[in-house]
Order: sequence, then structure tokens, then C-alpha cells
Amino acid sequence: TSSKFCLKVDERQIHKNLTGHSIRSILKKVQSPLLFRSVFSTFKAEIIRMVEFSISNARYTYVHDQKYPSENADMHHIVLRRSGSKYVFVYASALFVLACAIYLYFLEEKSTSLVYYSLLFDIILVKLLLRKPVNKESVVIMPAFGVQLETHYMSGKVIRCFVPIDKILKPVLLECVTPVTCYWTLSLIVRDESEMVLVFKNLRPPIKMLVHVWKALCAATDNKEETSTHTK
Amino acid sequence: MGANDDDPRKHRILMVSDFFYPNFGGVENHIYYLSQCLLNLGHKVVVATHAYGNRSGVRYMTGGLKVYYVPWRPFVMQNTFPTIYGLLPIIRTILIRERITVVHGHQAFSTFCHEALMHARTMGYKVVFTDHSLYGFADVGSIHMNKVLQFTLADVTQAICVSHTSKENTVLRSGLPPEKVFVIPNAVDTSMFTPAVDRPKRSEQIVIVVISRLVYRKGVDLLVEVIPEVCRIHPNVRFIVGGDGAKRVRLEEMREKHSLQDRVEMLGAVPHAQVRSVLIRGHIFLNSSLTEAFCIAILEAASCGLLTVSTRVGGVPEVLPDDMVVLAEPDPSDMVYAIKKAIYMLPKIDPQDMHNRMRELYDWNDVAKRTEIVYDRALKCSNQKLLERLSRYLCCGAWAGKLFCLVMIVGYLFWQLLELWQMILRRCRISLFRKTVMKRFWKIHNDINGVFWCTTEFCFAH
Repeated sequence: TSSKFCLKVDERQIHKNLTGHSIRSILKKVQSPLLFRSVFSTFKAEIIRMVEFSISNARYTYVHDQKYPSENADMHHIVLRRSGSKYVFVYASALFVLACAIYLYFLEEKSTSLVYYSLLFDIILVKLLLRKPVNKESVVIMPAFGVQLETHYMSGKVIRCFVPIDKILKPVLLECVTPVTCYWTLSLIVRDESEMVLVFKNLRPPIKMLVHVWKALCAATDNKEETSTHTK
Repeated sequence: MGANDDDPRKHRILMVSDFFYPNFGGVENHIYYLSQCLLNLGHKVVVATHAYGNRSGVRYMTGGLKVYYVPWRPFVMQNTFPTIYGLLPIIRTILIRERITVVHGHQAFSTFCHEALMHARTMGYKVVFTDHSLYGFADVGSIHMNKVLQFTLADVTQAICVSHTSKENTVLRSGLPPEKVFVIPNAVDTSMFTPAVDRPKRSEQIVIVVISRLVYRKGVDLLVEVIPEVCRIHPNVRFIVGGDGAKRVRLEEMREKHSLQDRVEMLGAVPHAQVRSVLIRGHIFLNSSLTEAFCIAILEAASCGLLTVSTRVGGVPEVLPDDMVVLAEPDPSDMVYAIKKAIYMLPKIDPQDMHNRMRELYDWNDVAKRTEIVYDRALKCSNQKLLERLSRYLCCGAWAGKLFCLVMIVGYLFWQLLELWQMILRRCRISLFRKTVMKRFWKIHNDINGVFWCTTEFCFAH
């Protein structure tokens, strides 16, 4: 009996999660030549075109819309992957506290103030842990013009911050040390200001994603230097 | 970085101490010079210390020495506030990020060092401890300090002391087996401390230099009695006293009382960079410490070509050859006699010759090579499980042993909780394998910054 290998790949997954690197690694593992050809033909468009480049993580997804130079903007997005488990955990614990308070009130004849206090505690807990959720943070690089930093919230609100290109001295990757941890951030050293501008203010993406954004920012600011020296 | 990854003989060392630049002192200089020489030998060195004022975060020093100034506030005498498990998350992060192989702690009187070593041991890293000072056994502070030291050293992989006297002291205080302790003396940067090109003539005036912190430990009370006596006996002797501290007032009083303003010059605090310029103004260096594990000050003086007069305490007799130092008991009359002997010996001293001998005797590169041997030995030690290690803590004392065991067990539990918490945060998933339908999650890369993977589902249906 001949074993038939059927290759079924979720089309949506290709656009969201697969990169050129992973396609290559998959192709390396495929043994049968027939299968290899079918895999290659399926991904041929992706391998050749690479319009959209993305890296995925358990928590963050980095997407790079490489529309430059056809459009005058280079966009990098860091999307926070929504996880239901955090909400489930917080609401479950709040419910548990309330249930305990009600049990104590009804069955053990304690005062009603206990129920009110537990309600108050629940509200504070929910407010603290499930604060303004950020959906996505973007960097829009417009060469020779400036850089726009956007924060998109779940409620649809967008906060934008524009930094003109001649105010940026240099984009830097820095290690930040807190009393409990150490993480990488991407910042812009800005002229005439003592504080640096954080590119990703709410999210903490890993260094592998930050490096791509940093390289794009460096390219944009270096180009600006070249054009400015030319005019001088 | 690439070469370091390939060569298994090269270590990645984390130096931990409360005492580092921008503070100046014996321990700080030791850590800095040792790190620089280890970097030259091809190892990677990272230093972790507490934040000094505004200086917080990651800084890079000469040669690529990375320093983590961890933002924990110091509370007394430059020591971090001791929260027993507070440093666990940040130390764990640094150890994993930098892929450390050996943790090297300095100075018994540093809470940061003790805590970091405890956490490193909990996580299974090899630990080396260097003790720089001698401590007593009798007063309350020393008793507590020694108990803490006993706890840290109960499970240390190797220990280093700066002199044989210091080794004896450490072994007695901590109950460590002497086979685990290595003796590696400090060294001096002889290129920085060179003799003067032209020195003041000996026939006119003999200058005696004293540079130290003016505190009780450094024997200022002895100085107060010695200086007037020497000035009375030898009319052509002058003193230069550099340094500041609580006992400076006593020296000023002595000056006033005996009208020695023209013969005793008080310089105040001397910055480390200017120590050499003060030393080369003199012919004799006087050290009157009441206790000293190893005196780097007399090394610096000898490197500048000065004859040294010192008290015979602690590790001082081990430091210099007999023709470069005159030793005396910590008694004023004995010290006056020693100074007289030194003045008599002065014509036979050649400063340049002394400097050359010091250059051969003491070198930081030599210290680094010997420390490397200690690291190699430490890494060859076997990995031990928690239960085996707990037995070592139990013999620390009747009540203390049980307390230490409890502390280590709780520390271990905290560490496991932290690991679990980090895994939940990163949403690590273990690979699944089912017989009927094969689904594989390919893990491309896993690093401390997050589990970084790409997932693809291939369904193979027969």
C-alpha cells in the first residue's frame, strides 16, 4: 500500500505567523520530492514576494508593512496577543471572594458590612488588574519628515505622538534595570531634551522584534544626515 | 562574544559586592583590577552592585566590563538593606541573561554579596567567595557577622583569602574546611606608583608620610603618641599626614599642644589619584594599623620607593621582604625605636631598585591567573542536590543550623515559584505527540526575552 501524504495548511496561518525563515526550515524537513514540490508551490508567493514580514511570540506579534518606497511610510506594529486566561483568573478570584463573603453572611450570621467590603475589594481588584488594555503600538516612519508613535487601545482610542526627523539625534537600544528585572527598550535621543522618548511605552516586546524597528529608525535618521550634509 | 561561546575553558564570571566604583577603597580596586586582568585573559566578567545615587542601570567600563547598578537603596555603610529574598528575581535575571558560569562574591561585610551568593547556590551555580578583612570574635557585631558568614560559607564551592593570617581567621570564624580556602595576595598597580625622579635630599630633612583613614582601627591613637616623641628625638624629621576621619581632631590637638605646626603637615582627604604625588614627597611610610588582613597601602609606598615602618599585626609581616619593611609592636615606644632604625637604614635604600623588585613580586595579572585556577577547580566540583546541601547547613549550630535549613528551603520554593510564574507569563508549551494524528509544534528559539517560536500544523493523514 502506498502511503498518501496529504498536506493541509491553514491559509490564514501563513499570513499571520509564517516567515521566510520558518518556510525554509519546513522545506528542509520534508523528505518526499512530491511533497517538497507541493509545499514550495504553496508558499511560492510568500517566498518571492515577502511584502509582509512578521515575527511571533507567545505574547506579542511584530508586523512590518513594507510599503516603502511605493508609499511614503514604513510601518512597524507590535500587537499584543489577547489572552482570555487573565480575565478568567481575575473574575474567578473576584467571584470567589464574593462567594466567601456571602457564605459567611448567610450561614454564619456575620454582618452585611463584610459583603460590602468584599464587593469593594472586588471592584478595586478588577480596576487595578484589568486597566486600560492596549491593543497595539505602532511606529510610522516617514523618511525626511518624522516618526509617529501610536498607541491603539481596545476601546478604539488612539494616542499619537509625532517626533520631527531633525529632532531625533539617535535611536538607541537600552537595557533598563528595575529592582526585580531587566529588559530591553528602544528609545529616541531627542535634541534639547534631557529625557529620552520611549518608542513602545506600554508594551515590552523582546529584543528580536526591537532590533528590526531600531534598524529601520537608524536607516531613516542616517538618510536624514546624508541629505542634510549634502545641502550644506 | 563568539569566541567566548566556543571555548569551554573560558569562564563567564559575575562579581557581586556592595563595594564598587564610584567608591574608592581596597575592595573596589581589587574587584576592578581583577576584572580587567580576567578580561585580558579572555574571560567575560560582569559586576553587580547596588545603585550609587543617580548611577543606576547598566554601565560599561574599560575593556567592556559590564556593571549592573541594581536600584536597591543602601542603608548603612554602603550596604544594601537586607531583605532575605528580595534580590532573588533580579539576580536570577542577570544570571540567566549573561549565561554566567561562576559567581564570585567579595567582602564579608556586604549584604548584597551574601544574598546574591545564597540565591546563586539555590539555583545551582558554582560560587567563590573572597574575604578581604580580619574580624574579631568578641563583640556583638562580630558575633552576628560571623554567624552570617558561617551560613554563606557553609555551602560555598571555593574561598579565597588575601593572606595566610586571613585564611586562619576566616577558617576559625566560619568553620570552613581549610582545604577549600586558597590564599591569593592582593597586588598593586606598579605602573601608577613609580618613584620620584628627583627626591628631596635626605641630609636636609627626612620626611615621614602617613596616609590612611583617621579612625580607631588605623591606630591614630598610636600616632598621637609617636609623632611628638619622634619630633623631639630627631630634629630633622618632618611628618605629612593625609586622610580624614573621626580621629583627625586628636591629631590637630596634638599639633597644637606640642607646637608642631611647622613639622606636621595635615593634608586632609587625599583623592586616590593624588596618593602617589603625596607619597613621593617622603622617604619613610608609617603605617600604624591595629588590624590589617593585607595592607595595600604599604605596597603602594614600597612601589614608590619608600621604606616602610609598620605595626606587626594581621597579615602585614607576609607582605614585604624584610629589607623593605621595619616591623614594630603596636606600642608607642617600640614604634619610635623602629622609626629610629628606619632612619638609620635610609642611606642603603635605592628607590628604583625597590620599585623594580615590587614589579616582579606583585602583579595583577598573576593574581588573575591564580584566580582562574580557583575557578577551574570550582567548576570541577560536583553538582549537589538540595537535600545533600541541607546537611551542611545543619552542622552550623543547634538552633542556627535548623534556621539556615529553613531559609534555604523557603528560598528554593520561592525560586521554583518564580520559575513557574515566568513560564506562565511566557506561555511555554511542551510539545505534544499523539499517535493517531501527529501534530508538532516546532520551537525555533527559546531565550530569556520570551519564548520565540513559529508554529505550523502539519496533519499527516494516512
